[in-house]
Amino acid sequence: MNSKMFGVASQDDELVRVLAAYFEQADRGDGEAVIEAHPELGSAIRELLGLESRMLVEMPGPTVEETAGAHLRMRIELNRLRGRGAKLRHARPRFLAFIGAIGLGLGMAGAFASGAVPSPPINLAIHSLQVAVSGDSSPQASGDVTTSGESPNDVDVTVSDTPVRKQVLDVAPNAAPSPPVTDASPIAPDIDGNVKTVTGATDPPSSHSSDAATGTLPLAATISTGLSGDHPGNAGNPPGLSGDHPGNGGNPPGLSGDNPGIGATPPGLSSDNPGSGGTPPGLSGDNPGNGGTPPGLSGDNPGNGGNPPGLGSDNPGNGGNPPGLTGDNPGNGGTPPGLSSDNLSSSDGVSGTPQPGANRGNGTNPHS
Amino acid sequence: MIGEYRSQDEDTSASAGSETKKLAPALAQPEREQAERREVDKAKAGDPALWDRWFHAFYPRLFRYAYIRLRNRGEAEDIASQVFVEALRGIKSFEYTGRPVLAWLYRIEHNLISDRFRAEARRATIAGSSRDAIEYGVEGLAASIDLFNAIRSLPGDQRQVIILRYLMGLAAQDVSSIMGKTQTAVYSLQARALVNLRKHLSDEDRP
Repeated sequence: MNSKMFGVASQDDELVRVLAAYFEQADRGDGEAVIEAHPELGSAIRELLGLESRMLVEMPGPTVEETAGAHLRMRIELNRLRGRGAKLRHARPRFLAFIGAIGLGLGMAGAFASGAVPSPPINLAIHSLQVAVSGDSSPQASGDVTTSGESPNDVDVTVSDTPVRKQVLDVAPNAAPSPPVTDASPIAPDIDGNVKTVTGATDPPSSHSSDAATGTLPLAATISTGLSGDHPGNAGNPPGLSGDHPGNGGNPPGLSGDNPGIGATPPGLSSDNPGSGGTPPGLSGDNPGNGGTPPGLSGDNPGNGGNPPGLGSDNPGNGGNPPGLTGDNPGNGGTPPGLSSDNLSSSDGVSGTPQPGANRGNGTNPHS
Repeated sequence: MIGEYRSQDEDTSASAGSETKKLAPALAQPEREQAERREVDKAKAGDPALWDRWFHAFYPRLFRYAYIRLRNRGEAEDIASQVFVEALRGIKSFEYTGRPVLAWLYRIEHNLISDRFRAEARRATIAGSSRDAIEYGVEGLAASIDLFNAIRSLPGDQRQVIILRYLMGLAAQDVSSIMGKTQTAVYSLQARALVNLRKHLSDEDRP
């Protein structure tokens, strides 16, 4: 039995070996030679090859419909992928341009923010505001201020007598006379409150510095934006505006540069801008600050920034002595004692007095 | 005689077995690889003509393999067509290494069928060998079922060789590279599988 089994097994093994050799030779194109070499296995081999053919036949392939359906599905997928690729190719340049635009915008913004690139529109806006304030306030209220236009410094300033100015000075009958005004000073009010008419240029174009010691008085109305040495201070109230807006500003003695000051009321605005210091509107009491003497107080130091009695505003401005203090308290922008010049101040202390251009220094203590 | 893999020369007929009967003699290996490499480049570029050619050359084999495994024509069609969809999606990352494209497609199909089996195992809806009896006809199905069952009864290596050689139409060299065996071993497995199939079928034919 075992021998029979071994015989069968060995017979199958021999068949497998010959059949494998046939397959190998058939791939090389000469399978028949193997069958001829083993005639005893020829029938078995041909039977197995018939099984091979049967396998090919009985293995059902797809029908035409099944093939067409699958082919359609493949083409749909192919077209979808090709369409998507085309879309991506078309979208790529647009996307790159978009990214480039964003990068350019960020770069420019960074350059402006860091100051690497100047931003003239902003500076011009600030300076033009100052020009409007000081220039517009002068002609109607205090006289004629005309700019020749030939030079930013060649400005004809004509200041007429101003009754209000007189009232201001009447408040302090013991006030010391103002420091002498040089020819360069365009505004030279005397002790009587009369305002001297000055016509002519102020600083030469070459030196736009405000020199308090020499009395060189920059003209507020002659604001040349971007030029150093112009210290317009503020111009008080614009014409036609009520309320006291002394503001502040101006250069303190010994300082040069542009100090436009704050607190002035720009033309067209009717609000009270108390400036720095002083008693804010509606507050009573002593608020010396920079301001002068509040109304109703008999202090000795009206300064330039105090409110004159009888004027309906509570904006003393700055400068001047606080009540109860004597001595020299020049305040902001005023001329300290011993200096012989009018420092351009921010507040001329005159309620509603539109001083053209330079405002007298405030805080000059008349009691000194 | 089973022909060698020829993607360009095969008949595009959908009838069973016809494409394998008209196979031309195989190209030499270097020539075949060179030609197929060019085809892969075209396929990556989305050449519709190339994909059509591949489809008509490979689809019947893929369908047949799926049908043997799934025993359902609808599912076989679905799987075989899905192979091309997956191939289209993955051709960009496909690197040709000298192995036939059909081997790559076969691997895709094998994975799809395995996924299908796993899904069906969860649903436990497989009804056995007569799933396709209604739509395919009892007579024809019986013979197929005998053959299918005979193939399925083979040991793993022999069954794989039968599928790759007869259903997929791959050359012995390609089968050897897929299975990691020598060509001589492939020939031997093929011969032994045929002997066992004959024995299995003769046992079933016996009353």
